[in-house]
Amino acid sequence: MSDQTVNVNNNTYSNIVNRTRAEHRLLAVHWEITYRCNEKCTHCYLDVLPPGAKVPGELSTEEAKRVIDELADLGALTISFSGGEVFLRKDIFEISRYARKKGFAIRYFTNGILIKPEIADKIAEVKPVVVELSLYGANAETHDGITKVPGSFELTLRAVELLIERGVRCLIKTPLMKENIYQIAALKQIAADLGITFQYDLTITPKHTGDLTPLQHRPSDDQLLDFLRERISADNFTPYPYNQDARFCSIGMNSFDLGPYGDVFTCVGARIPAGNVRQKPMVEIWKDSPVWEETSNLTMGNLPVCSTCELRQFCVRCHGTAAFEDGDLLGCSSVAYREARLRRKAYLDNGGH
Amino acid sequence: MNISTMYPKPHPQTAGRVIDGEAVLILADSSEVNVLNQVGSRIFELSDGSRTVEEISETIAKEYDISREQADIDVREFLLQLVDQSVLVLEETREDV
Repeated sequence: MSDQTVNVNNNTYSNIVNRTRAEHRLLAVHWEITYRCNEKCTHCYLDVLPPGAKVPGELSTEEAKRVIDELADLGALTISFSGGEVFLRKDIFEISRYARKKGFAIRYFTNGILIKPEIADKIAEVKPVVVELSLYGANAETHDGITKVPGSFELTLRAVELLIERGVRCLIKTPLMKENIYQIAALKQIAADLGITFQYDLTITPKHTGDLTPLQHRPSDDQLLDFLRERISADNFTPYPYNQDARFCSIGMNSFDLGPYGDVFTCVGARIPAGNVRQKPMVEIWKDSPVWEETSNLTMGNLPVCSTCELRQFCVRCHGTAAFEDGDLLGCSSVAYREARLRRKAYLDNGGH
Repeated sequence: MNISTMYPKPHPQTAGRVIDGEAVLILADSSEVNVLNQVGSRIFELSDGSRTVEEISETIAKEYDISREQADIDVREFLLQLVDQSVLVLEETREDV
């Protein structure tokens, strides 16, 4: 039975992921376990609460365990614990250990401020797949200016070091903003010096309340064009081929977002409500809510503006941002259009045609 | 080591789920995603702490129509590999599931 040994086979895993998408089978859950946070980031998409706020509506420890039971029954494999700041939940390790016992892979999204040696020990015991830490700048002035917490730059880096010392896989991630876009090289170097992965993204969205304040932190056209010109050329970029069945993301297919009060949303970006776990069993929400089919049908061919847009070969859109910022889930996302226009310009400037 | 009367169960630090008959595992030490094939997945699924290695061999022999002796050898070898890779642990007592 030698062929029954453990196969390291990423193609097989990709096939499974694709199958879960096609068959509407739950694989991954993003769990915003609290909206309380100890940073006050200028660009945050959540209207976070102070760290000590009394929030009786948050799912209790026992409710969280029941949710985990239901997620296991649905066959989910991964839980990403996010916030707010996830380590403000005093029961996070009890919940995490329970999830691990139920066979889940755990990821933590954190700012790291609370990760002192004893917390790092507990994280290491949970054996998460990864701890993803937000670093908003390559120096304290930039990072702390965004978090509004003096000293947070040092604390986040201390957390990374404590976790690495304990063998915990970490990565640093940075949303690109006008304040930090020219620090990408320095941020990459910080990650390289620590021997960990660095990720960035361009997603700055309105708050989930509809407040557009975070958008003022997006890079300017000139900044973004500089950034894209350094990365896109005819040698390394192929305009996306048109395919009416193509999707921009896996919304509605094999994952969802769970809020601290038990609300189930399609995803972090679109936040279309599907039900609440206090009112309905998770399995009913996952099987019966109409939002899954509605959103999983958001293919290129079903987006009337995008399917005929001249920039569609350069565009990467978030349906949620289109809804929150421009008022139409199916319509043009103005920020995606802007990025596509600049992506095409960078491509043409660098030899594309 | 005679493991026939021991109870294999998932390692507390390995994440795993059987999806459509295929066990998807995220290994504790490497964080790599691994997928077992059909028979391996079935053995992993049966290794929930409630069955001895002997009982698992018996089930595999029946389900895959192989001799009991062959199943004993193959299941033991496979389980020890999974233990070696921190996918499973072997317990001396039964766990209620």
